[in-house]
Amino acid sequence: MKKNMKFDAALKELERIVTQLESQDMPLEKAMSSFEEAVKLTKHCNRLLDEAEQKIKLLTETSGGRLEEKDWTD
Amino acid sequence: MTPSDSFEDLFPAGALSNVFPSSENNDIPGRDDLDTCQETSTDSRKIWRISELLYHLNDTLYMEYGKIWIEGEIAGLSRPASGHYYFTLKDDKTCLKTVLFKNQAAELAFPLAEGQKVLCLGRLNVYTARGDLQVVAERLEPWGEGRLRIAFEELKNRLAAEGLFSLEHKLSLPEYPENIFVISSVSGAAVRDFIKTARGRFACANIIVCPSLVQGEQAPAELIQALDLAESRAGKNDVIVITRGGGSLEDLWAFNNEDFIRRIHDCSVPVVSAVGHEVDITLCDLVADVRAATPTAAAHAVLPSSQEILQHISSLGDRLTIAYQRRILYLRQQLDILRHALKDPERDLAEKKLLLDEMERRATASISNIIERLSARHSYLSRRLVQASPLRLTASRSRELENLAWRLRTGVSALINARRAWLAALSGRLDTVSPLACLARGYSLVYANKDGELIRDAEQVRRHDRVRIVPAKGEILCEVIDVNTDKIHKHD
Repeated sequence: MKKNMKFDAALKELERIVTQLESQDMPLEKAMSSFEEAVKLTKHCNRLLDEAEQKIKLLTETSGGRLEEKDWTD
Repeated sequence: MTPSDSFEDLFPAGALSNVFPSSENNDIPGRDDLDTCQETSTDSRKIWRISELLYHLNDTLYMEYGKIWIEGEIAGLSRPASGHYYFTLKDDKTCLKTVLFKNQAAELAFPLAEGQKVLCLGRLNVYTARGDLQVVAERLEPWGEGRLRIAFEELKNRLAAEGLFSLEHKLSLPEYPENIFVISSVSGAAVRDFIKTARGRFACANIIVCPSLVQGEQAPAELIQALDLAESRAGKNDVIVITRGGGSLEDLWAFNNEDFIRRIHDCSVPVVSAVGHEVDITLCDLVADVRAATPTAAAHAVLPSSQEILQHISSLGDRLTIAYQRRILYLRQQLDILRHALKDPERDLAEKKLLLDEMERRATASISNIIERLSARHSYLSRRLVQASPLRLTASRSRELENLAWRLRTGVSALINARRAWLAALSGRLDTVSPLACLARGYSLVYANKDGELIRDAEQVRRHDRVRIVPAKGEILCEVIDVNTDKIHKHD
């Protein structure tokens, strides 16, 4: 598993492994490594969920006609 | 509707009898009568009877104009006890008498007022009792709104015919977007509603607000510009949300702008439209990939719920553990089965070894016994030999003794050899008496399953006990159905 794996990709991979483990006659070593990988993915997903931080920006145009992203304030 | 139907609708039969008292057969004049009139005229001038002319005129008006939209200002509004509205529609030069019957008046979406500019859908008709041209109205709309509606319907039909709203053009939204571009008025409530709801959802995406006017003449151009900007910045997993609060058709008019609609249609990034309230439909809603009724609904549509994701991950975790444990359990069972399969040949082998060992021991013991007896005999003879006056031994006696000793030795050797041969024979027989050989001949051993004891008597087992039958090859695990202790087999 890549450290910087995106949530979407990690969750899809996790689903794939679980489904595979459920449906296939997997040899022990493969089942063990799949399980380990899946546990890592679950942790990764949970971490991404915990760390997820929504940034809200406002695209503004400067007097020079350049675009800038500013933090959004209510 | 045929001309005569509409005519009678307007002027029921009772009313007509007064209007046409001189009519010969009291019937409504038809085409045949008109032809007759022309033929019987004394000169080439065409002379109409007024009622005929008005009838003809109504027919022509209907055929020529049908239902038309007329714009004008209301004047001389009155509503007598009948419940119908009477007024004139006027512009700066002239006017037209208009009637809106009670049934249609009930469907009016706004109150009629003197001086109001309206758009009127109706038919032209000449009131035959007086010869006045009038409009029989079916629907009235406030002028601005009404015009917009007609333009809206016209554009909607045209774009729909081009296939701009068809489902095959719709893009699907990314499950977990990275950036959400919100095109909206920065000062509006819509963008705040959206952000507020988005904060309660899974915070996987950044929200970038692209400001634009959402009302007025400049709005379509700004909306297109904002869409250009958003599309140029958007990546693969991004989505664009166009949102604005509710308003009148006129307020929302920018979202029906043809250029803007075509621009949305050509946009390569999925577009969610949340314009107006649930009841307001704009072409922007129709052309967008997803229509959300409100800004809040748009946030729900583009961002997954944190709660649902957590539940999903947790259920995946459960499934993972169960699947893994099942896998291990299955492998353990497989291993167990294989181990059982290995166990029996081993035990067979051990039994055979023990049996052979026993036979060997017994054979050796009997040989030792014989040797011992022979040795004892030998010492006894030796003693007697010594006692038999060795002093009187002659040379011949000495030879005789030697001879005797030799015979004794050879005798013992012969005896030992014979026993060895016997042992060899015994070993040979051992094979034939080996239980395995018996098994090869079709016999089977029966063991009690619980203690592994060999069953020699039916009384050793009870019903439902488990026994293992061991034929020459393999093993059969059986359950005892019945035990009959009386029956005795004759053994060979």
